[in-house]
Amino acid sequence: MKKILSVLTVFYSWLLRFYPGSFREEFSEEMLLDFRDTLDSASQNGIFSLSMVLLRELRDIPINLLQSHWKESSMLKILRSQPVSNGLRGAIGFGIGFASVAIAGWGVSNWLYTAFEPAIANLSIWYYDIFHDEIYILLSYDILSLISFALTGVIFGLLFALFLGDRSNRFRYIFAGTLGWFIPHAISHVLSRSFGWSFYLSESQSNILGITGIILTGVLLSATFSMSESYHKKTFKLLAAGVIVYPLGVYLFIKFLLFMWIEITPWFFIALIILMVIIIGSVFALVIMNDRKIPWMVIVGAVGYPVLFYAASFIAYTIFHLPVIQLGVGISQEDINIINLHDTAINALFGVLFGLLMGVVLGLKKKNSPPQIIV
Amino acid sequence: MKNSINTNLPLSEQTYFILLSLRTSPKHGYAIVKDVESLSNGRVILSVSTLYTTLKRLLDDGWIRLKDTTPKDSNRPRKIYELTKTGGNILLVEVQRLGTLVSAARTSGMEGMV
Repeated sequence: MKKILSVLTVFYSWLLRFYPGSFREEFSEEMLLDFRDTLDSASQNGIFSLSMVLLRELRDIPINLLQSHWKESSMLKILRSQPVSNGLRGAIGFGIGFASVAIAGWGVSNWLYTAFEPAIANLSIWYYDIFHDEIYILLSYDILSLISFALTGVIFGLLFALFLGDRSNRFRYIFAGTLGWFIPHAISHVLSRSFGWSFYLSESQSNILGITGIILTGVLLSATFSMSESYHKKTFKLLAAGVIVYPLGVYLFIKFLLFMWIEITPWFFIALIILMVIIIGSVFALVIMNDRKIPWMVIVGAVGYPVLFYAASFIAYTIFHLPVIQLGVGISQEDINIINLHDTAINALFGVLFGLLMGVVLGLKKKNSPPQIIV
Repeated sequence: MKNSINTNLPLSEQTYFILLSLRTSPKHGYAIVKDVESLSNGRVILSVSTLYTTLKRLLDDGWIRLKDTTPKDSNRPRKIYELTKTGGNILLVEVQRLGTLVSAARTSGMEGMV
């Protein structure tokens, strides 16, 4: 029996040579000792018990060898480590997400207008005959735009969850992604449709207001990103209420400013900037309420989003020499398609940069916060 | 964060019993194999290769750590492993999760069986 045990031990030591070098260095001596002890113990119960030990090892060793080699691969190790893993997932997810949403937004709004335009036209005629007012016509088209933002938001949320969520938080990510996409787009839409920018604002004032809109988008996207990681029902509900509260608030605020006749004074622009600062501040307050920590992710989003937004446009137009097509009367369908394709490419490029940034910040956050139990 | 623990759950049976075994006291590999067999009433018998592949993963994830290399009761040099706080927390959450499953079975009318 001793001879059989010696042969089996030699055979096992030969099998151990197939493990990766570092694994062998760390465990092979111990594995051999334990295997020998297991054989000694089993041999006291007879040849059947000994055979079972051997069969068990032969059954398990191939899969364990594969697993060890997979884990030892240095490239995989780097790819799986934080913040590289989240950075890459963010870059791929947001790259595909932003590009898909650009295409989807284009398709969804085309479909909505084609499908509902006859109905809206009939209702508009009926409404105008009764009330002699055209506001309903405008409102109908605005509602179609908002539905289009919501639908593209769901697509964004799905991709957001697919790339960055996991089994435990997938629905939360879908919901958060939808909110993060819808709210800033709805606010920007209401802002741009409620008054004539070119009539009431100078070019520089329009640019500044446009930048605050871009910052708001960055803040809301990073806020939903951050809030879906550390979930609290109350703050999520408040953010969801923002779907109605923010666009309606912006609309009523502008109506109030127009009603007060201050649009012809410099206070109109100042009031609009204050409004944007309040909205951005309220999102920060929600994030702090959610996590009670300094919202680094949202600060990075607020700064990173506009910087990367302009960087993506710069790369597209200056480095890749994307041709600039002027919008105006007589623009052909072909030009519109090219503009949409450019938009998709810039969105994809921007998504890669923004996703990389957000993923790295999230990865660093995960790396620096070891698991704890919340009672 | 509870979320990051939840992503590691449910634990495989081998991992669960190894963590459970190390919770009572630090042990070397062979002692773990014997303890796991005893804790599981002979149902889970770890092969040596499975044991060390799992130990390596648990070491890398920081759920266990190397305590010593020579036990007091042996003259053979062996590595002794012990549970870390992270590993203990994960085991606790898994036990709570399993407890919830069992209590759900009880309330659904399986009191006599579980």
